[in-house]
Amino acid sequence: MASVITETVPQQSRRQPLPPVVRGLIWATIGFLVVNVLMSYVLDPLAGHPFITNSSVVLGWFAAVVGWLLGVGAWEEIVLPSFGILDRSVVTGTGWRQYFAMSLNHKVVGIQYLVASTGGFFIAGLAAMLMRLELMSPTMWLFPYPGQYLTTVGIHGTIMMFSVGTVALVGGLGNYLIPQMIGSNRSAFPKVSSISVWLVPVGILTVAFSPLLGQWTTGWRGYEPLAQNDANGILFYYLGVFALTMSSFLVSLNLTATILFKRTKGMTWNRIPMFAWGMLVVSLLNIIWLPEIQMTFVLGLLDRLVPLPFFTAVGSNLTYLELFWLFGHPEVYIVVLPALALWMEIMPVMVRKPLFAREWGVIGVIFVMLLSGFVWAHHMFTNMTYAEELPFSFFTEMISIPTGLAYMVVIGTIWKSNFKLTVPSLLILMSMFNFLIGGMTGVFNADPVVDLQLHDTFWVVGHFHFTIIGGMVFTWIAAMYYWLPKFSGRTYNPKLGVLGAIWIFIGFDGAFSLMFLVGMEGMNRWVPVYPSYLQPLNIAISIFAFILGAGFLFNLLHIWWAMKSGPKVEANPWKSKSLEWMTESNPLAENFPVEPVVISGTYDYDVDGVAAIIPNPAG
Amino acid sequence: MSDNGHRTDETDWSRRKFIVGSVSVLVVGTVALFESSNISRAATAIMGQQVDQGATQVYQDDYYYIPNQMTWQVGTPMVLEIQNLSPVHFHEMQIGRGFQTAPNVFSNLKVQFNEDFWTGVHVTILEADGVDNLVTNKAVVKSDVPTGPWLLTGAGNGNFSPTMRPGGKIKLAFTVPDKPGVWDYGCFVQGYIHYADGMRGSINILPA
Repeated sequence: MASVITETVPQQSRRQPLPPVVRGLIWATIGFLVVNVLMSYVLDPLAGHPFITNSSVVLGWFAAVVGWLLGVGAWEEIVLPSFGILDRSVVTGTGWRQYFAMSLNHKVVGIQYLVASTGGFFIAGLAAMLMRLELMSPTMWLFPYPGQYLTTVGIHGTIMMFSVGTVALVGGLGNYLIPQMIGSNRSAFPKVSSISVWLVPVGILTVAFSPLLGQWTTGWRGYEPLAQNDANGILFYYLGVFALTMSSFLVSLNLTATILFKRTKGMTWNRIPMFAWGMLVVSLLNIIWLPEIQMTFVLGLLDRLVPLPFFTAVGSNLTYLELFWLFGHPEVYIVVLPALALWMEIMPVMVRKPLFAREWGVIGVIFVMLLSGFVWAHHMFTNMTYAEELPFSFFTEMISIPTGLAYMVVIGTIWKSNFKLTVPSLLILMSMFNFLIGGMTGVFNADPVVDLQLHDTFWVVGHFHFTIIGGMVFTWIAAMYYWLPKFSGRTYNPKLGVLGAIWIFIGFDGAFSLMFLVGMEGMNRWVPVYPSYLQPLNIAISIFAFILGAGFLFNLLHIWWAMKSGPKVEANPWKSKSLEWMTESNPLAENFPVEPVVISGTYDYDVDGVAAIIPNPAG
Repeated sequence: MSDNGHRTDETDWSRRKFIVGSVSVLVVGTVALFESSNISRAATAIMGQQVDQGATQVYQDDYYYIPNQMTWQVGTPMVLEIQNLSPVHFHEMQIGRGFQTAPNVFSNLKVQFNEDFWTGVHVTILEADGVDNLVTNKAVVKSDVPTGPWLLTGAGNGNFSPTMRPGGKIKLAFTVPDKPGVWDYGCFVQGYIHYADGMRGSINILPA
């Protein structure tokens, strides 16, 4: 057999194939250059023949993305097989190399998503550190020009929202865990996720390098008509966000289909894990709202390229604001719903008690999902009549009720239990505390009378960072510690873990609670200069922010170290009944050689015995 | 089994190429993002500046000039071709020294140059396309092309400056006057904010 193979593929083994990532970069460069030159010199030349024009850079970018996706593996994984040619051996490689090529293994894809998100988190975090450095003085001292500060704010917000907030828990943990949790060996559409993950680095780098085309001053919201007044950097904002939202959209299609159709025997709707419920509602939110915002950004892009007047001075720029927040508010629930689901997923394991009022937890996440479409205009109270404000104020305050159900479920689960304070449960308690502050300050913002005073101040900045970092990032880190043994078969150092948790808690709560104060004292958003009486508070905020940044870095290094060389642990260290703990810890292994059968709820910790059995293939 | 492992090693892609390829792209991108002005300064320092003469292109974009450094020599005949590449913004090009300012609470905005380079210079408009206005101030201007209401010869419109619409272009012929030294150029449109955002450059005029 071996001799036959050696005879048929001698050339292949002689020539070492290019690494897929490098090939992707080369093909992307070729794609960009060909299309860019075609546009700027042949099809649509401007007087003076500049090399980069509006249209050339946009179409060149699309060609580069196609080249990149084909290069990292779509050529062998998707294009060639559609013509009946199967030649996978060249690209995927073995061992660690599988993480740097397109992969059909849902766990590899999950880790690729997590790594890409973490990269985005630290790039955007660096931008935040630069902003805080600038704001330590009431005058411009770090950035020579105000536009550079605003561009930095925009890069920070855009990368955080579209490559971390929307992606880490859905693309990352969702892809990794959901098939295992519902007893499947694969997601419904492995090729879809294998492509979509490679759009994340594209989007992050496009936004991060947007200043190459010029400054843009709109922040992550791309407000019109400001965007039409911006330099060409705004083009890379539209394009980068397009790549990132497309990635999330594809993942959502895959996860929805996976949860609906790939469940194993006995995994009924009453037994679906809470995290799967979270992924389902979030995916539905993504499927509803991401195409809406993509369409809006395409219109914004056409406004500039063609140009068309949809949102410009002759069009209606309030339409843009409405369309943006119509997506923009569900977006924050896209960020935070997986976190609520993770609280309910992890806590029963920690307290060894069945999940309290599970149905109400499910009702909570579903109603948050439904109500999230009714609240968008509370971002624009300054643009509305009093009569229009009332319904949005009402629904905004209403949404705290289903959100509160998640709190009720978790607190009821902890109630009278043998609660063990571990690093994941500590981080989840911190997350619940911070999200509570974020939610309560949100009630003030939901009230137009107060909001008209607080609008556009640092109070709002404090509020939404408490919901998003407090709610989602703390929970993300909790989940990373909780599933560490699943990722690597190793675990963390408990003392370092507690130190890391307390470290980011102090840094985070110090920095962002002071933002409420500085906001009420008159600190505006979106300006790098401010009256000098605000300087002491700003210096304090910046110092806490640097502590927070270092804390995130500490947790990253600790988790990295634990994965590589932390203490080894047994397969199911938390004694969880959930199905993902029945699989082997090596991400490259198959989940279930034999399909499991679920025989009871995965949160039934009041009874002994397992939740699922592996049927004997013989019997 | 070992035979199998051997073959896999040969067909696996190279780790070294992977690291070198991806890291070098990141380094090049980051340097392009943060260090482009230092690189061009170093290149100028090494190669020296060429004296511009005859047709000289200046491109305007949001918010910078290409080039942002020029070297002229007194007595050289010049044709300055200024073209606005911005898709959305008007841009002008003033040349001068010192600043007139408008102070406010936060900063001291530069409004225009104090001394106008073009005072007394004979300028011929060779070509004009998409010009929003040309303030002549104290320059002596004649035109080879038909002018319109865009040619503002009256007093009180500020320094000599051609203002181009997006995509607009103008060609000015003149002889470098006897005003050696370093002169600045800049764009002050949109409430003077283009200059504040970095739309500026400098001309070193060498004596004859």
